[in-house]
Amino acid sequence: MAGEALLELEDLRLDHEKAGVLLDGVSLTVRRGQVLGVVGESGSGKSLTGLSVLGLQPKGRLSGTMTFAGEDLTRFGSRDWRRFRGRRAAMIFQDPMTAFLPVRRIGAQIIEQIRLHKSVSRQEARKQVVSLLTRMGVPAPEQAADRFPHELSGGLRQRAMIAMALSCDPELLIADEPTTALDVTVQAQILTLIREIGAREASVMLITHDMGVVAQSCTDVAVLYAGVVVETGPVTEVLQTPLHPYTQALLRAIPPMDGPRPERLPVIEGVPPSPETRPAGCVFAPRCPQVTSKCAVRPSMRGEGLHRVACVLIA
Amino acid sequence: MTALLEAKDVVRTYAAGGKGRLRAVDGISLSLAPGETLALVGESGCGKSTLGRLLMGFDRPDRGQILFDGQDMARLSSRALRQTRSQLQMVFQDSASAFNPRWTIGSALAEPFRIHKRPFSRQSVEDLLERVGLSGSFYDRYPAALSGGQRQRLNIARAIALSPRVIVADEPVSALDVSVQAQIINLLRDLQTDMGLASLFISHDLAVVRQISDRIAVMYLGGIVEEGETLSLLAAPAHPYTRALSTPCHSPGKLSVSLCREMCRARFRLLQAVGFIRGAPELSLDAQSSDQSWRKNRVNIA
Ligand SMILES: Nc1ncnc2c1ncn2[C@@H]1O[C@H](COP(=O)(O)OP(=O)(O)OP(=O)(O)O)[C@@H](O)[C@H]1O
Ligand SMILES: Nc1ncnc2c1ncn2[C@@H]1O[C@H](COP(=O)(O)OP(=O)(O)O)[C@@H](O)[C@H]1O
Ligand code: SF4
Ligand SMILES: [Mg+2]
Ligand SMILES: [Mg+2]
Repeated sequence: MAGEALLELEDLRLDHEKAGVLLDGVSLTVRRGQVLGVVGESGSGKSLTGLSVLGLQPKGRLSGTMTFAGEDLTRFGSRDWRRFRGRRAAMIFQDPMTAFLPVRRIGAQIIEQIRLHKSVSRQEARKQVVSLLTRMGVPAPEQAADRFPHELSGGLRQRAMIAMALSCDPELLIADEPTTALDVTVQAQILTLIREIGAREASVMLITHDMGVVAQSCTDVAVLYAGVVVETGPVTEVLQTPLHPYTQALLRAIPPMDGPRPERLPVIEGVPPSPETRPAGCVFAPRCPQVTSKCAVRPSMRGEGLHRVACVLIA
Repeated sequence: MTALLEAKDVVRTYAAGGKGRLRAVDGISLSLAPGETLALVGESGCGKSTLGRLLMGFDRPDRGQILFDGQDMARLSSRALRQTRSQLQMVFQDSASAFNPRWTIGSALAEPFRIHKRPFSRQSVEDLLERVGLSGSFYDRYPAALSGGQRQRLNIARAIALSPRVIVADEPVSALDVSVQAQIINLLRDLQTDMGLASLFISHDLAVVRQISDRIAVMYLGGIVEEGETLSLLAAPAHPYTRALSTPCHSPGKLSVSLCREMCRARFRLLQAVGFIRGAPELSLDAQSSDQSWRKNRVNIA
């Protein structure tokens, strides 16, 4: 089963009534056993991509293809979504406090989630909760289950949220900036956990703005810019030989840890376009140092094998 | 050179349940020269933010003094304190709660000018927006229209609005994308050279710290354990925490990915070995318990 495509987005577009076209060509594949990093600047559409996969995107016209294990998600009605969410794909967020009700013990909340999708007794669900928390590396899981969300440290809360997300054995875990709010040492632990989940339990879509996180935790990566996926492929290839000028510029902007300190860090001049100013051609054209007249037509994703790029320079 | 901002043997304790007091800042002396960037690094909970708040005058020390321009902040008249406030700005860690959702971005940015009765125009506010990498067209929009990263840029714009002399920045770029991070780092360095802006830069990212700071102070358990010029400190770190953190792994562009992974793992093990990660899965302990062991270490029964 490993390597087989689980989630396939092809040219996904989201046209919001007020805000305009927020996603304008998101193409990516999550294969079984993969941790796919979705990386991009703030506002590039990472969260919206994740939310769309669960049918939780803001109101608007969604087009393009979105297939999950052969099923067409774009045809889902509200009943289909209710059965799908939490059961086959689950999402975790940057702030675990948003996932838990503050006034209820976390164990009770996870039990509820389990019994929503599976017909098991309360006792059986409780057993599953303890075993999940144990697997997530929560010390003293019995006691932890009886805590209120605010009684746990940030790292433990994040583990509890991952436990809740995995409670119904979803095939896909979508993690939206799961470590951004955490201390660096706790971050390392949560990323290790997510990497293990990717290897053993579920495919993972890891949304992050941090290339370091991608390098540490992902097997594959999709680079998002202004609502468009511009490069995707195995992490090693994309980070070692980035082909898209945007990915190249992004990697150059990371401060070096050795050698002389540059007077200025190389930056990408200008700002990402908004939905109103997004060019009809290549979305990166206004900021691209290699722009030519050919870039006036939107390039599609091309490339050999798994490493694919949307740039006219790449035949 | 005389210090612009100085902490002298500062202690700040918090009630820690029972009769104990937690010594969050435990006798720290530190000084920031005009135009200097001092980075404060250290593990979560070691007291960095508490020290930052003390230096800002948001919080009073139990003992010791905070001096701004040689003057004890605790003894300033309210007028002098207001004057000082405009020269001392903080960039907060939490950008989401930093803005009134009912104010347009333009009026949020104009607020410091109004409070301190400084002249400003729509154009100058739009310039400020563009300076932090936001389009001037955000002027009439509301903070809710911004994504998390865009809001943090706004936060930084507000802090630099009045061209302060000192900025205390608590993890200001950790939530930003690298391209914006690079812009902000360059911007802070520009401000530093153009206007002699001094800053205390609290961060856990040593690659960022290396790029931006003149000096580094390493904090551990409420005290400064190591302090020195940035490049020489990173070249030969003495304290195990600094040694562990300065193992490079921040340049995926240069390192091969497998090497980078290896480094991270090595760093992780090193941190474990010196007892800084007590929550490693194998050890099945968590930050929570490390917090508590710290509390135990640092609580003096009154
Ligand atoms: N509910 C909404 N209504 C209108 N516009 C929206 C909505 N949600 C997002 N947007 C806009 O869509 C774009 C993409 O937003 P999204 O939240 O996906 O970005 P992101 O990459 O996750 O950013 P960050 O990393 O800062 O969270 C942004 O320009 C944002 O302002
Ligand atoms: N208002 C408070 N009441 C009680 N304890 C506090 C308070 N603020 C901070 N602390 C404690 O003081 C220590 C230092 O906190 P802080 O300055 O926030 O550290 P850092 O910024 O390095 O994470 C921590 O152990 C924290 O739990
Ligand atoms: S298509 Fe043209 S503008 Fe776009 S990234 Fe490639 S060279 Fe640059
Ligand atoms: Mg987001
Ligand atoms: Mg802090």
